[in-house]
Amino acid sequence: MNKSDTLIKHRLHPVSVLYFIATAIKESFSFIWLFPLLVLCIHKLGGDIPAFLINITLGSCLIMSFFVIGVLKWRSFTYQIHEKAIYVESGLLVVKKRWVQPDRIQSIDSAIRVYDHLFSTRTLTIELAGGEESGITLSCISKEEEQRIRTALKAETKDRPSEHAEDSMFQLSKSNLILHSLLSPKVGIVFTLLLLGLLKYMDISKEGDRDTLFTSLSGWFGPNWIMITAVLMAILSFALSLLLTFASDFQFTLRKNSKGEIEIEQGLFEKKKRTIGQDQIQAILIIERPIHRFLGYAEIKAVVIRNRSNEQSSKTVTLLPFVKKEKAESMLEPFTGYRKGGHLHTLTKEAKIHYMVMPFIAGCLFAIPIWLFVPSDYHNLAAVLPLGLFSLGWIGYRMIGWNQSSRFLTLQYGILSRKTAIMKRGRIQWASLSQTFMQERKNLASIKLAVASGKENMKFSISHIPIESAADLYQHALKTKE
Amino acid sequence: MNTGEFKKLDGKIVAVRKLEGVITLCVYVSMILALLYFTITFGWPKWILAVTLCLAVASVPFELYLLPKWKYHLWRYRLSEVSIQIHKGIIFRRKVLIPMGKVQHVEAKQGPILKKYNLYTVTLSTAAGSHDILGLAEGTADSIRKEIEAYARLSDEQV
Repeated sequence: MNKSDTLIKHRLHPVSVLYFIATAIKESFSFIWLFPLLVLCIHKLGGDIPAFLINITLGSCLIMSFFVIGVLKWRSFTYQIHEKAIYVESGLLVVKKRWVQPDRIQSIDSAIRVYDHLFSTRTLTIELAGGEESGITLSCISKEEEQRIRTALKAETKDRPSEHAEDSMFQLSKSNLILHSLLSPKVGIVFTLLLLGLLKYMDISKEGDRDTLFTSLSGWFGPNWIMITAVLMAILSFALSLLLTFASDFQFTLRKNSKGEIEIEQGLFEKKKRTIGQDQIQAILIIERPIHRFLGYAEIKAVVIRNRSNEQSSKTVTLLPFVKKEKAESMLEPFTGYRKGGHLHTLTKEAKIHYMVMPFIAGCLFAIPIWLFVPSDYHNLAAVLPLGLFSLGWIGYRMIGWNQSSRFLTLQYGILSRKTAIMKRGRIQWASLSQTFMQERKNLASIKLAVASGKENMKFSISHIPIESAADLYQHALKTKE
Repeated sequence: MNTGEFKKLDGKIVAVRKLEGVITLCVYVSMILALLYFTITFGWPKWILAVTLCLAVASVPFELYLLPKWKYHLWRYRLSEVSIQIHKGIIFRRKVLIPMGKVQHVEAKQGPILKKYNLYTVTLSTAAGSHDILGLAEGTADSIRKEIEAYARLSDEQV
């Protein structure tokens, strides 16, 4: 690196003022109630001043102040690239000075947002371990600048030789992306929203307008217009779902670099690139939704420690959004170092009372008021409730499985979607074993295991397993060496 | 190091829980008074007041005698070089196991009620939430805190 470079205080691209304005607006949310209060006060005290004038004046002041704050924040944000660290100075009233050194970095993620496309820039987010505000965002920097920062920060990272030194890679094909979109719950959500929109239109429109719309539809599509409209809505839902899936998962690429870290790239309009170190992965979650399971597809997520305020809510990161199950299982170990346990133990017949009989009894109890209070044409539906709960219980009973090997613990659970959680020995933060009187009589127990995930925790539990197995799993939590 | 056997909480915790029970009953009484007001003023159905009153009366022996006693008898903790175990729960018996290496920090705190009886709550924080040991004498809380701090060494890979 050029020596003179280390002394220069760099500023971000001027367009990043937009980012700082957005940050200022976000930070002001807790004070935003002051604005209508101020309008009200001036309106009361001002007497003759028209309300719209007050609104326009105060609104302009607010927009101007956000702009000024954005510009000042941009001016105060500087960084210096040193040989093995970067130095960031930020803050308007309280100046924060932060040294970012490679050993504190959890991940360096980059994203090309929509506005970044216009200026050929990108946004870099450096996630640090520990502390309250542990993410530094460098908005709108050039590709070369990103490389310089990455080089400076990676110069001292632990260069561990990977078990699979060659770069492994997986890319989601377009055909799989289309199938993924078709089977995605987004289709159902979009279809429901469209249907609700149509119902709302029927509700609020006048008779004449409604007739106009439905007359037009029947005029266009002939006697089967209801069917054709439904099919068109389904096609529209699929198209919108396809757009959403393409926007988020287009060119989804999973790569393992020579340092053993996982790199994920995805997105159409907003290209995201995130890096996950293997040490960050706390557990792996394989999700098989009902139709996916029928077709042999699965989704793989990783429970990862996040230390960024805006990502606290998401406890998992998608590693493979849509992949054949056999391929997923074969790829799991080379990419993540996790392996699913082979033979899973299943529940004993003593657990059936908890999974099937109890829900059936509860269903019967709930069915009584339904039978009594629902009009006679529909009250036969009450019979569905106990039978439905019994069936769901039976599915849940069959779904439970667990396996404990010397390195990994596999838990399988779920009702409609089958979920398989794989945890490494030593990643379990705490374990809880609980037993009710009924379980005690049948020698059963429930177990809950927690792993770290950001400031939240992620818990995996299976219920009504034999007490000996539960005790084994409970003791497994103690083994801290991987 | 107090390894091996499970230990009970300090006996004074029964009095603390009884005092908490009294506070809970005061809350119930204020709720009943509010319900009485609504019943008289707005003509609310009388059965709401009657059911609430019955539940409040039925809870008196539980709040003032049974729950403090049961909780004291069932609450246990054990500290060893490798783990901290907590046994609790009346209907749902629960055993919690925290590997010592996962404890990130230990905190001893005291609220106004605990202060009256000179007791402390020790909070053990892990990367996946925290667990409390409520009602320890000052000396015990301090020694436990020191012991845990001595054993809880966080290694890089354990997070």
